[in-house]
Amino acid sequence: MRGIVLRSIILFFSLLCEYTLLPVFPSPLKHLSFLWLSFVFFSFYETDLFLLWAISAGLARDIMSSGRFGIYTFTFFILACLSLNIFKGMIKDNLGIKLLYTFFTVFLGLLMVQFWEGFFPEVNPAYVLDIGYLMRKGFINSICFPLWSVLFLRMEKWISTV
Amino acid sequence: MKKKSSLIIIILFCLILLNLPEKYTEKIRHSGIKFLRAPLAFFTNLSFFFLHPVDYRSIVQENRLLNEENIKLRLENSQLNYFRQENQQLRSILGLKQQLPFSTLTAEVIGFDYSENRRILFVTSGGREGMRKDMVCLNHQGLVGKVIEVGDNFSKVMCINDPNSRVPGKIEDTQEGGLVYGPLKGKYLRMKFLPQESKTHPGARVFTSGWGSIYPKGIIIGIIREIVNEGFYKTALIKPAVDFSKLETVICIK
Repeated sequence: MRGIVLRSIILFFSLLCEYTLLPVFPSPLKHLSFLWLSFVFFSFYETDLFLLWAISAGLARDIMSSGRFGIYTFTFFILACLSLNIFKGMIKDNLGIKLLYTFFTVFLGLLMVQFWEGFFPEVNPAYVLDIGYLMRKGFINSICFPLWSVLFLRMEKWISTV
Repeated sequence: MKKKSSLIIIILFCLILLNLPEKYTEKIRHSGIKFLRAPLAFFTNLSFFFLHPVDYRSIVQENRLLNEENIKLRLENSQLNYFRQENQQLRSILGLKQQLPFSTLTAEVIGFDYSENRRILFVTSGGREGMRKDMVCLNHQGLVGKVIEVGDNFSKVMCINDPNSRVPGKIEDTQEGGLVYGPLKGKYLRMKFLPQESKTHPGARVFTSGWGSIYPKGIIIGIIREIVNEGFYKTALIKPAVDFSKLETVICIK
């Protein structure tokens, strides 16, 4: 129960930061995305309800974004399926592989979102595939992932002792 | 078997979401943002507090300068009032249509959607306060954008640096006009299709031209940084007058 509360809090604050704090950060920190970091965090440390958390994150993002509704939910769902079925077997308890996984998850996820945006041009006619942006985003998030996970694992431990 | 059926349900759920009519998705979004409005405002204020810490010395200095400017503007305003009356009288003599004064609405910025090619602001005022779609938003620096979506107690503003933004503009010194496009990449706005013989130069200011029915005339858009040759035409790269990372309040006019 405490785990569910903590994860809900993580998701809620990730969403708030995504639309308030992070966009006004100086570059390159403005490429940080707590929602993507939460998704990766759940994929490592939440096995039972991972699909549910992934879809919740996608739905929350869809509510706040101005693109076509459902794009993020679908993207997060596909990524969650990939993580559960393909990536899971490849992930060992190795920091380098975790960083690489974070990079590819963010890169692939955003690539899928940009693909959807191009697929529905009536929502965003000025669609452009910007690989450089995806690389920057993937790189910054993968670097910050260890810090993020350590922070929340500590918090989880602290909450369980309270 | 259970896993398979839950996967099918989720896929169906996603497909339904993707194909929901706009009026329903708008309702879902509006109720979601309505719920998040207060925490969003709190977080935005908190982020501004940390990112732009208050320096009391500069505030005192700024206050003194603002007071001086206020006195000058009051004097100028009384002169302008006189000219306005004179202008109205002359217009009525000539039989020209009277220009209506703008009514304004102040709104605080509570969030930013800067994801995937978008530059959209969430602001506090909504339909309840009198906000309407296509109202023009500006601040003391210049043009910010226009309202694209109105909820009960919030609105979404598309900034002029959004790739979907098109603003009719005019270069101050050469009086050449054209559409100012939001950038697809980079941070500069683009005024395209300037003729090759154009004598405009970096440093020239660009204002709204008043063409079309949305943006009123004479609001500063930005300053030309560079002129680029693109085939038969020239393109002016414009630095926006507004610093979008420090945007706290906007004034919307109708």
